[in-house]
Amino acid sequence: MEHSRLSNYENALDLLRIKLNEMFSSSLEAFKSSMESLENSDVDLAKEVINSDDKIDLLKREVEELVYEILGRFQPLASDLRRVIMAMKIAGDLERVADQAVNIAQVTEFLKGKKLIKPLIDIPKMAQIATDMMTKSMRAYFDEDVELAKQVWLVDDQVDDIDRLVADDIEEIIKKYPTDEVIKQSERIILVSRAIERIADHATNICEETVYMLLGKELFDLL
Amino acid sequence: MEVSLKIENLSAYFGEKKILDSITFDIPSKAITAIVGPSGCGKSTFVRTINRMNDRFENFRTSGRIILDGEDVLSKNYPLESLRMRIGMVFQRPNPFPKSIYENVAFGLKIHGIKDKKTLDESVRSSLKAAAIYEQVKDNLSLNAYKLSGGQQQRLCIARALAVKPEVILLDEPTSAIDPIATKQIEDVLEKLSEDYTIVIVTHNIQQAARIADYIAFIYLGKLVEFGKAEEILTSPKEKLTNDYLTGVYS
Repeated sequence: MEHSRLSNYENALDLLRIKLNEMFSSSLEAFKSSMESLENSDVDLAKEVINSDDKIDLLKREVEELVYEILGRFQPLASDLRRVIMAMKIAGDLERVADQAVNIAQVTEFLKGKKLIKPLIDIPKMAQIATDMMTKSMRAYFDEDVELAKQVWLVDDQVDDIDRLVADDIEEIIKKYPTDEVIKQSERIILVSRAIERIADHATNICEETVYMLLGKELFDLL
Repeated sequence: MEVSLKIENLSAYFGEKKILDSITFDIPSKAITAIVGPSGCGKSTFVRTINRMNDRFENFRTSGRIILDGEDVLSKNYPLESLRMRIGMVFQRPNPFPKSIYENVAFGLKIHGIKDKKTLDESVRSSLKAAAIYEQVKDNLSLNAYKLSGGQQQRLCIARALAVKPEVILLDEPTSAIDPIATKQIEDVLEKLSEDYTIVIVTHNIQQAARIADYIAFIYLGKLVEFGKAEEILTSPKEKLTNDYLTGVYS
């Protein structure tokens, strides 16, 4: 760890916020770039996304180590305890978002130079909603905004709906053209759709964690 | 939740000064209830009132009731001797008598007229065992209690309280004068004892409450701010005052 001994609790919390902010930006960036690489068949950008994953894994580990140190040194309770534990959970969500971005980037590599069996229409739409959810969940966390967290949580259904729509479309295409190439591409498209759906789930998790951190209550119970 | 003591609208005064203000809650049976709060909030007065330790001060008076088994122990008609039999107390500093280990533990029983050597021996042995000090002292029960370490003395005091078979044991900051290892031993003893006894422990050490309490009562300026299961109070207290205290906004 680059930091020396944590001198006081406030500094420790500041450091935690800084690390999480870095993680939020990096994983959101990875997700956006992975979608850009997919839509533009940009394999170089896909490679960048894949390579950036190590950095995000490392950041997650730094957050965890910081949390262990805070727990051991300051033994926080009540809202302080929730803040520290939720930071660790959110770091876990962000690391998974970056992993999903890698999955999408790998599909970009697979599809390189291939004619797509289906134009990308629903998936970018879905990705736009998920990006928006991630951005807002981040704002809800940093601005401690319970209302915003609730809003984001409610949007998640839209993403689930599109994910199901994509799966249905793909099923139809496979039925009509059951060739090897169609099946292989179909698998990848479903993988992308599922990756975006998971990212939206992580955004809702972050909102739930933010609400628990702030109020000690489940977001679901507030609706 | 089975209730051991019902605290009903309890207020306590030294002269004109109100130390406890209308406290009402049920102390659960066979569990550890920690009384926490900043210095001077009234937590020691609270447990001392339960055991009527302050009766000897002329300007001390109470209102409200403390119900044990359907009877108000604060009533002047409630005999002090039977109250002290049923509700034992352990203090901040170990306070053994300048007598042997054996005599310290047998003291309460002898006061209550028990003379039979076999009964006394058995009670001394089982009380020392329950306080997890028997193994260390069994070969030398005639040793003067002052020769024991602070932690051992405090466990001896617990054994002394246990000997008269109380239902409730009150402890007022029982580990504040002893080191972390002895503290751990006493906390272990209390956890074990809570299977059979109702334990009420005053502590300014919130981490200690976090380690051992089943329930926590937070007192501030003589008022009960919040009472509840320890895990709920420690992670998601309902009252802002409780949260402020636990997060160190004031101490």
